[in-house]
Amino acid sequence: MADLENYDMVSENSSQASEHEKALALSAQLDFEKTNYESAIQLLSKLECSRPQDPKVIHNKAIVNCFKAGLTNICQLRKALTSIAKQLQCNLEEPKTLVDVDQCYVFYNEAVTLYCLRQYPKSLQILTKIFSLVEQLDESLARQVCFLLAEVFLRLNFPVKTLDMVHFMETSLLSHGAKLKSTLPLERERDKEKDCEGKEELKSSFGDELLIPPGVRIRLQRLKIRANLSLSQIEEAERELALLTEIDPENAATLCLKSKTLFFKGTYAESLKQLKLPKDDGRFKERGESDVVMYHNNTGCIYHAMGKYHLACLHFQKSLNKSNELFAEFPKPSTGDPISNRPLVTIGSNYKYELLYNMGVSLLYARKPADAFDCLIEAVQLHHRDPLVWLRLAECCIQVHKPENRKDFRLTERQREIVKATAGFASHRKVVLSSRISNDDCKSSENAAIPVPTLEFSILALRNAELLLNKLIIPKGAEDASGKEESDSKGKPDLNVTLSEVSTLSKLRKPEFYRNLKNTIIADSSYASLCLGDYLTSLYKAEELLTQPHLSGNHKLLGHLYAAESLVLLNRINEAVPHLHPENVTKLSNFSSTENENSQFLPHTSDWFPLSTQTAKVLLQYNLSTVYALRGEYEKAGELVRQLWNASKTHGIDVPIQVVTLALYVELQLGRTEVARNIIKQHCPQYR
Amino acid sequence: MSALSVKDLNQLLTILDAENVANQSVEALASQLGVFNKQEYFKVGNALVMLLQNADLLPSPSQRLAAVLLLHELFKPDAQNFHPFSSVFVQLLADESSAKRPESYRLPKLSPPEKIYLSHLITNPQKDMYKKTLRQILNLETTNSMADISALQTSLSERLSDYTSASKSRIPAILSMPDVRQGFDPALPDSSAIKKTAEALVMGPNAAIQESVGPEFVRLAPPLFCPDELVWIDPIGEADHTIAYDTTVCIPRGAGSEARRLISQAFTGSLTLLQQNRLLSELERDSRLVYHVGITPNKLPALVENNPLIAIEVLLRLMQSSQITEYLSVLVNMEMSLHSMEVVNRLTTAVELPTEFVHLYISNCISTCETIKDRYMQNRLVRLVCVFLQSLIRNKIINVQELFIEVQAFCIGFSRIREAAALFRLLKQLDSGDQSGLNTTSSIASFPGLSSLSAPSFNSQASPVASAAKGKGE
Repeated sequence: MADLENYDMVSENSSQASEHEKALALSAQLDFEKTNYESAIQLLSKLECSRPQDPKVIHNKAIVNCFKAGLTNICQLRKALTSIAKQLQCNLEEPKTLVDVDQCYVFYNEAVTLYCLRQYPKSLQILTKIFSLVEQLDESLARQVCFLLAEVFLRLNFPVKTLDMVHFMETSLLSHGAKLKSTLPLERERDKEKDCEGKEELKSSFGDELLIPPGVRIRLQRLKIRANLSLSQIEEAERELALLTEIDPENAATLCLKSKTLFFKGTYAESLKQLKLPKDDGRFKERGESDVVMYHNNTGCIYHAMGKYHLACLHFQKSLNKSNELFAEFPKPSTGDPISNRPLVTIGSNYKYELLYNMGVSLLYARKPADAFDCLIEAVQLHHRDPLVWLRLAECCIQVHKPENRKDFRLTERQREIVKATAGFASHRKVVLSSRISNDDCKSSENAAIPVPTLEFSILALRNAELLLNKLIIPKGAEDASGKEESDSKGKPDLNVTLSEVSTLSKLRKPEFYRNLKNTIIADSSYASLCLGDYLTSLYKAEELLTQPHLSGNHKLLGHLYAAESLVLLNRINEAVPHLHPENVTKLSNFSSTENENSQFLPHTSDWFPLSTQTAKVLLQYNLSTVYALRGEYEKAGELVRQLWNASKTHGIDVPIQVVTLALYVELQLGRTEVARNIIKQHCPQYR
Repeated sequence: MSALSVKDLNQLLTILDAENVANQSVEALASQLGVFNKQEYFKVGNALVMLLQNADLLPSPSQRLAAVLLLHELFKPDAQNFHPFSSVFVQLLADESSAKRPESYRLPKLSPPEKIYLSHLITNPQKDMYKKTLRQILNLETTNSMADISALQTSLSERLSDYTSASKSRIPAILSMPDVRQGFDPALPDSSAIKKTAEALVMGPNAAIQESVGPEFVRLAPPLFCPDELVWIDPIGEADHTIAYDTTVCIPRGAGSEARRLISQAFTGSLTLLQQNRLLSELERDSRLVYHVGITPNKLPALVENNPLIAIEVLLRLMQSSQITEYLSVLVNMEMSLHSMEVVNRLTTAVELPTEFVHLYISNCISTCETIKDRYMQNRLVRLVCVFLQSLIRNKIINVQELFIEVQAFCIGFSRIREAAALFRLLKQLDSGDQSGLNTTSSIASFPGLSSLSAPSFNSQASPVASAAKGKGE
């Protein structure tokens, strides 16, 4: 009942308005709409004199003031909103206190500022509450609330909810004539029959669509395309795109969405063709969006997908430069208020950290891990809740540590490294053999908390990634993400969502993505621990990796290799042998056999070595011969190494340089020094 | 750990100088270790082992023996009777005929007298043993047998068991590769060449002497996580989401808006009793309000389905409206349901409806009943229609004669249903002029099936009708 009394009080306030006051209010509104802010403020001040208790007047005055300042004094506005809310007996911090339609404007404006500050969950909370009163809102506010809700849902990775909102707007908010479904089963059946006829229904709804103003129609179409792409529903996106192209063919936004749709289809060349460098990028202050930044970034994305990483980096750099240039034009924010002095609309649209992420990943693929690390370490400042960013950082560290696997297999290049140095001459000549021809071990030195691309830091990054991934709410199946529970056309969409603490940078992912991400994190953890001499952890991680369902061929191979090596280094040699069975190699791939390599996976990253199962088998066998040597079974080890060597000669199979060094070692252990010398002479002719 | 300094190495090589080492007593030899700093002893020991492993660097047998003895004298056995270089001694003393010790390949082979002397020195050192010169040791009569060193072997293998195979497997990285193309004269050991070679092996931060080789695993770095696409920037139209100006300022929010709100809610779901009463009282207060609450003919079916009572009130208030015909035609053409029937029934009793409207509705009902495929639903609907028709007839809302043929055909068609038979009997009665069956009151409450219609809260669920009908059928 308290609510009702409150309601009476508020309504009383406005019901007392005289005709003169009404006229004042109307002309103030007209002046505001014509952007005559000065005169609007004067009129509102007059109105305030006669209606000092009316919170709406104070509210509008604050709004006009804010517009007059070019929407740059957001702090001030929020303070004003907070005090108006107090007057309206509600609290902006607690959306629960929103009970009356008169409080909606204050809450909506708070939600807008929160949206611009990228505080989407808070914004969503408020909007959901306002939406519960949507029938009572005036049409323009209701529309704005619905659009903002749809956008916020998309930002929070709930594209299905975005589609629900769009559907709601199309059927309930913008069209007239409620379609009702009867409660009788009989009638429902009839409805179904109608649906089968289909096309007539479509026509009738198209009639409604005609009532929707084109501007609104365009916004709805854009939302539908983006949401469908986010759901990887390419066909639906294409259908909506066709409709958008009909209404708004030449717009840069249309072309951008067309390009994105083609990109998702995997037709990169076509996608690239749609994008054109805009000549002018004016009105950034009003629009909050820069076509130039967008063009370079999206072009970079396409080049990256095409495997042209350097070109991609170039575009990301240009995009970043332009973005920095645009933001440098604003005066420095005053102290204590980091968002001051720049228009509200530009605050949330600063893509610096996303651009840095893109560039970092491209640099990583371009094999510039140290530069990539510098980009990503900045990106992670904003996206510290995204497991993917942490994984990328760890990958940079690993690539800095070991740039490639192929190195050991370049025999001609590496064989002269078998001998590290010589000493003495003539009869006293000594050769010093390389103690570790490919040293993957890393001496622990730096403090892990210092962000430098070291393996210690990678351990920390991987731990973050794993924790975040475990917290992430992962869609259980594809139907969960795409299956629309068709709410009745009469009903309002259900806005309940479970917000994850963890954010992700881009679109909604399939469950395979998360599985693969998890496996990659585990494999990387095992590798880094192994290199750092933490053999128990590396063993534990390798075993964990091997128990994962849907393991890719690559991860299976790595799991066995890391487990075997960890066991050996833990002096549990005999347990290592089963891991090195050649049958542990299946088809080498980044994907598990159950996953088809669908469009979600870009075809660009099969440059991992080894590529062939044959090479992988050689590796397992080589490591097995190492185990034999460690057990003192030198004859057995020597035999296996000889087989591998012969196989490489006769069948041209790649073998690592370690095959030679192990052969040398075995001969020395067997006391066959002369054979050992011959091996050296064979590979390093300068020691003849 | 850096290797031995050049100065120390030179001193060591001087001590081991072939010219004078042979005639020294063991005691005198050991005393020369005093030139080294105690902390360097381990490094000296390493250097000695390296020299021993490279036979060409210690050409004479006495030098070799001197190196072995110096190595032994470097460390006095500690409490556990353990010498850091025990493994060297064990290897030197190993019986070559027995188990092959491959690692020993580089250590020199000691002669039997040397072995005997060394074994006794290790196990049970006597003062007089130190008085012997190296030459004497080399020429000892082999009458004594070797001392038993199994205790040393046991303690060594115990110690070694603490190490992993990986660390035990490592062997020195230095390998002799005599350059055969250059002149090689074993008769003339070039002491300065030896010195240079030894220096080269010992010096520097990564001295060769400290290096070792062993079996190495090939360790693959994991592949990059690949199913990734970067962040696209979408055209959002950020400027569309902006601060809003309150346009409702000074616009009174009286009863009208409340009624509007309730009506709009009534389109989507049934109102609570409280809300219904509130809405009805609002409508009561202002007779013109009904035209401004957002009701259109199109929306009527939604209202009928969700809130039939409100629908009736609204329709009654709209009777004077110019649009009433449209409302009514929507009503008769809407899908036949319990609620629509209730609404029509209530309307017929409250106001005089155009006859063609009622007839149209009845035809609609009958044809719905006839076309429905679901047998159960059909029975249910037929029962409802029969009860409804009886009510209309008894209340004299319709003149049966105008619909006689149609209704009669309906009754015959569904004669298997009890209500249809009853209706048929009523028709026959009327046809024969017998008016006694007709109620003179206009209340429909007397009909068991429709009694619920007049109940104030019938919107809550009108299922009593259905259940009554159902009950009868079974």
